[in-house]
Amino acid sequence: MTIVLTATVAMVVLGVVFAACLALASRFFAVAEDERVAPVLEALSGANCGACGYGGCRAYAEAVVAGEKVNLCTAGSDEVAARIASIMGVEVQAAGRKRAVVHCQGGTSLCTQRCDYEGEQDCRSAHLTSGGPKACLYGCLGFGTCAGACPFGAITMSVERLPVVDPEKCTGCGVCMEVCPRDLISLLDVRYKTYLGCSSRDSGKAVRNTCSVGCITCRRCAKDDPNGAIVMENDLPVLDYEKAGGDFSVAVEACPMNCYVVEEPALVSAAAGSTHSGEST
Amino acid sequence: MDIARFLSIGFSAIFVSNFVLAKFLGLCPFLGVTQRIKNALGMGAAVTFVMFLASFVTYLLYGLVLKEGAALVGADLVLVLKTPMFILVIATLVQLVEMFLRSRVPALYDALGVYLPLITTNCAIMGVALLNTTDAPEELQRLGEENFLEGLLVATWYGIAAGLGFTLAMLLMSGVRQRLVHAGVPEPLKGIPIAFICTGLMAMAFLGFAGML
Repeated sequence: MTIVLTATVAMVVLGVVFAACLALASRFFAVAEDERVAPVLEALSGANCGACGYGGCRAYAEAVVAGEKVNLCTAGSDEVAARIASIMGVEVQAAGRKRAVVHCQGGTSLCTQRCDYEGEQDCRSAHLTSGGPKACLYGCLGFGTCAGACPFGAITMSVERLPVVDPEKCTGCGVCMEVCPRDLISLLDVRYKTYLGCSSRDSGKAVRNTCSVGCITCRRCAKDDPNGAIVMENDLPVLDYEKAGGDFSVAVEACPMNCYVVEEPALVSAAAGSTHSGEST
Repeated sequence: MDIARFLSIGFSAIFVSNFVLAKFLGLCPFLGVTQRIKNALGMGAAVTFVMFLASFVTYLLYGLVLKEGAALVGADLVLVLKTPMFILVIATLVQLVEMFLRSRVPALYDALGVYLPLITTNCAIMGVALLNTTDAPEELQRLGEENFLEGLLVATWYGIAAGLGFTLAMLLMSGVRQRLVHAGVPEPLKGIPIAFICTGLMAMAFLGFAGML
């Protein structure tokens, strides 16, 4: 009987002591969290993709409560922005939804291979193996690492072994951008339909030898563009979308190598601004 | 207590009888939070801290309250109270760590997720408490009888070393697993199965330390 008594007393005393310690510690380590953080976090996609520029959804939720813009979650798009805005009681800034575009069109039939590659079927591995099997050292390796990395299943590989982005599924999170060892993917506002489909900085001759849709640095697009929205930088044209409202039809016509990609205007929402019809090159 | 003996206890706890790779204790966080080196290190640090304080407090409680002829109580409470009392200590410490991480390192708090409160039931920590007290090697028990403070010192050091050994195993495993992601693992073995196979191989490698002490 005594042993039960002593055991009970010992545990009670110990429990009280520890409870006091924890109560004291909770004063020191109290988290003064704004009560709006939790609902904002709830509204976010929870993918922790980092496209907003913060280290995860929680960090962004805290930043929102501290006054950050509500439309930075590209993965959640306008719907999430609206929900966060209603929690925070602010107006939604017009969000420009973005999607991933691939700056290479040199598929298997258009760009040559320089060797056989039998290693790990992964672009990053192939890229490390002295640049991979592709003759163009800037072009898409075609092992589909981006397709595998896409958390939303928006990228498929075509028969030409090039990634095809489904603009409906793509949330613009930028995960594919991170994994591509050749930095071929960038994020482009969905309103803009024209982009350069080449990333090669090789000389014109070298490009002609390997690929039939590569930029040969002829500078014709930059010269012919009436808005002056194209400048050559490091042997590649750089497009200024703000300047011309995304209309590059003259430059697209001028390019002798058909380097520019013009997506079907059917994908454009009715609200989108200036677009032009053109064939997908 | 000479310094060489101290070092040999540390070496033994870290390498020869590593808690994860030789005793196979604490496999849950070992497989649960070793996807990234950063998280593994954070988990290792949290477990080391809890092990350090837990071995200190449990040895103190064992000597002062539980043991037959103990200073404060007198009755033999070891059989009755050993498990609940140790768990109480460990749970309190884990709560403390959780509060600290939540307020000071929220990113790590989020990354560790459910594995943080699960340190409470991590058998490695209960293991170190038991190996220090009721299941201690005879040598340590004798030492505790003769000189309580020295026993306390050795027990605490053993707790720290065990934690360091756990952290080392976590670090090695997370390094392996970060590379495994890019390796061509056959489909049925992807994820946890291949991690278990690696654990087995690492444990075999650690067997090599057995001859050193």
